[in-house]
Amino acid sequence: MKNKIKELRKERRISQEELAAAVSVTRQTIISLENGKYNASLILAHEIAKYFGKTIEEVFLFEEETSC
Amino acid sequence: MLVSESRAGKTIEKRVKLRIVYAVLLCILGIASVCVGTFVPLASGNGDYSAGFYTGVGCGLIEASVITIIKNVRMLKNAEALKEREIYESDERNRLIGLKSWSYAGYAMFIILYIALLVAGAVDVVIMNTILVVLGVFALCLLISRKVVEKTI
Repeated sequence: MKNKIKELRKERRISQEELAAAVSVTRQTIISLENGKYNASLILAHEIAKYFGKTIEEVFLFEEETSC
Repeated sequence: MLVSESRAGKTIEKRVKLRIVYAVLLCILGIASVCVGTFVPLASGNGDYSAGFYTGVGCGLIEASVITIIKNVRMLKNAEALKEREIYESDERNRLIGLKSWSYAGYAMFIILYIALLVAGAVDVVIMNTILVVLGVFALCLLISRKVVEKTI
């Protein structure tokens, strides 16, 4: 699942540390989210979207997995 | 801030206090072990080994519990450290890492025990039976845990 966290963060000049503190997670979690290594839970996705004043769909891009 | 400051306060404070209580109990257990190793004459043939074992384990427990007490008492006095700890412990990625680590360790343990069982069969029947029992208990724990977790989710 892709997301726009890095873009939104840079747009608003917010550091990873600040975002992490705002949504009560560690900076490593923000790094993993930005790198696409970790998918946020619904609660965290909601908190991040709320922090940026956006909807979850605007921050997190859900892609349907194609299976053979 | 989205998450209130108070959330970071009380629950972690309770948990830290509880950890101090556990550490004190562990310390008492350590002291008891040292006493057994030092003062109680052990009846078995390898009494010297057992005495050393109990004393060593006891000292280890005392050391670990004292470190835990000091660390947690210090944390209780530092609001910033408490908050950091709360975030670290409630962080969902850290929780997932913990769960996955336990899971992988469980799989590894199962495989290692099975290999040990195969090897032990050629060496000693008693060792083989012991490993078999350990494997059985492990599998039973896994089954019970699964049933319990299934009911909670």
